[in-house]
Amino acid sequence: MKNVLIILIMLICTLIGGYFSVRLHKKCRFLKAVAFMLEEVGLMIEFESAEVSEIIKRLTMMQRLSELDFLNKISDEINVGTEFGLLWENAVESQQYSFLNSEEKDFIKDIGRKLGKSDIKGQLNAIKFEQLELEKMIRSADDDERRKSKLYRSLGLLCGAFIVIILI
Amino acid sequence: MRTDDDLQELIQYFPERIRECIRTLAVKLTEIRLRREKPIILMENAEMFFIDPQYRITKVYDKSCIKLSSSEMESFFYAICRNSIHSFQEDICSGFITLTGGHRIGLCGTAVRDNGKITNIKNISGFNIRISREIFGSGEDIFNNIFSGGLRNVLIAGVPSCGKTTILRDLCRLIGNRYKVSVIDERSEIAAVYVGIPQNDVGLNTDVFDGYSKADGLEMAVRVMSPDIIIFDEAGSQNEFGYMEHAMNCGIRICASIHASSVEEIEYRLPFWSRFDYIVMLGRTPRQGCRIYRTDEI
Repeated sequence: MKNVLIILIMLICTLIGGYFSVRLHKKCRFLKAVAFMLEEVGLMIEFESAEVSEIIKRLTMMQRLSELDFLNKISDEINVGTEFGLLWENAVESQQYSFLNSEEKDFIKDIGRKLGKSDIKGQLNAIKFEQLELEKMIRSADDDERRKSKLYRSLGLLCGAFIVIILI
Repeated sequence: MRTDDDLQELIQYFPERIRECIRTLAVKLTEIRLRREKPIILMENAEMFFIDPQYRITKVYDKSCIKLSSSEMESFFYAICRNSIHSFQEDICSGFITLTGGHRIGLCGTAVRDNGKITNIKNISGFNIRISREIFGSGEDIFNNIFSGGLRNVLIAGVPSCGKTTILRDLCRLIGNRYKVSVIDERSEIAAVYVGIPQNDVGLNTDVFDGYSKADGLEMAVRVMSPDIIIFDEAGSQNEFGYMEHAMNCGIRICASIHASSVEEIEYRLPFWSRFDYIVMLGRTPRQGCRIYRTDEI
C-alpha cells in the first residue's frame, strides 16, 4: 500500500511538472503557427486581394495551422453582415488558450480587428508590424521553453520525492 | 438564375433594427439612400418613403424619422466590403461597390488624392443602393423591332436610372440565345457573376468578361472570343469610343448603353454615331417607354 502511494505521488508530481513544460512547448508552437498564418495572409492579400472570408476558409484547410482552432470557429460563423473583428475576438476568447498570457491573447485578437480594415498597403504594413511584434514573442517563448521546460519537469520530480520523504 | 435570396442577402447588410422595414417593401424598392445623420430614404421609382420611430414605412417626413448613426454607417460600409476593404480598393476609388446579384452601391464622401488621382474615399457620408432586377421581357419589343432581321449596331440612350441596364440585361439574354455574344461587364451589373457563374440569365451563347474595363474587355473580346456582337453598359470615355469603333471595324456588332437625354447629345459626344443602325431613346422613367430612331433617317 505504501509503495503504491509513493509511486502515485511521484507520478502526479512528475505529470504536473510535465504539464507546465508542455504548456511552454504548446505556446511556442502556437505562436509559430500564428507567424505562419500572418505570412500566408500577407501573400493572399498582396497577390490575390483575397476577401477575409476566403482567407479564413483557406487557412482552415492548411494542415500546418491545425493548432489555430479558433479559425474553424470563425469559418463556421462568418456570414453576410457579420462584424468580423468581433467574431474573431469571440472565437479567440472561446478557445481559452490557457498557455497564452493576456498580452499574447490581446495581440492575437488585434490581428482580427485590423484584418480587412484598410487598403492593401495598409494591410501589408499592419502585418509587417505584427510580424515584428510576434518575432519578439516567439523569441521570448523559445527562450522560456529552453530554460524552463527541463526545470519544470525536474521540479515536479523533486517535489514528488520531497513529499514522499516527508511522508515516510 | 437569380432569386429573391439575393434580396434577402442584401437586407442582411443593413443594421438589424431597420432590416424588417426594408424587407416589407423590398420587392418594390428601386433605391435605398443612406446618409450620415440624415433620414433613411427608400425609393420606389420616384416615390420617397421614410421610416418612422415605430419602424413603420411612411410617406410623411418628420424630424423623428429613423436616421443612421456614424457607427452604423461605418459598419454598413465594412459589411458591403465583406470586411475586406483591401479587396474593394479599386471599386471604392471608382465610387461604387457591386454586391452579389448585381446590386450597385454608390459611395459619396471625401476624396483622398495622390498626384491628382483618387486613392481612397474617407468619411463616407452617403450610400445609394440601387437594387438590380431581372425583368424578363423588358427588352423584347426592342429585340423584335431591331434584331428580328439580324444583328445591328444599337445604342440604348437615356438619363440615369431610366432602366438602360435592365433593358440591356434582357437584350443580352434574348440575343445570347441566338448569336455569339460577349458581354463586357465592368461593374458586374449585367451578368452579376459570382465565382465564375452568371447569376442573371444572359443567354446560352454568351461569354462574360467580368470586371474588365470596357476598353480592355472590348480589345480582349475581339481578339479571343470571335463574338457576333459585343454588349456593354455605359459607354462614356473617348478611349472606350476608340475601342468601340475598332470592334466595329473588325465586323463585330455593338449594342451599348450611353447616358444622354436626346439624340443631339449623342451626335455631339459620339463622332461615329452614324455607324450605329439604331438609337433607342428611353423615357425618363421605365413607364414612359422608348423611341427607336433609325440613324439613316435622323
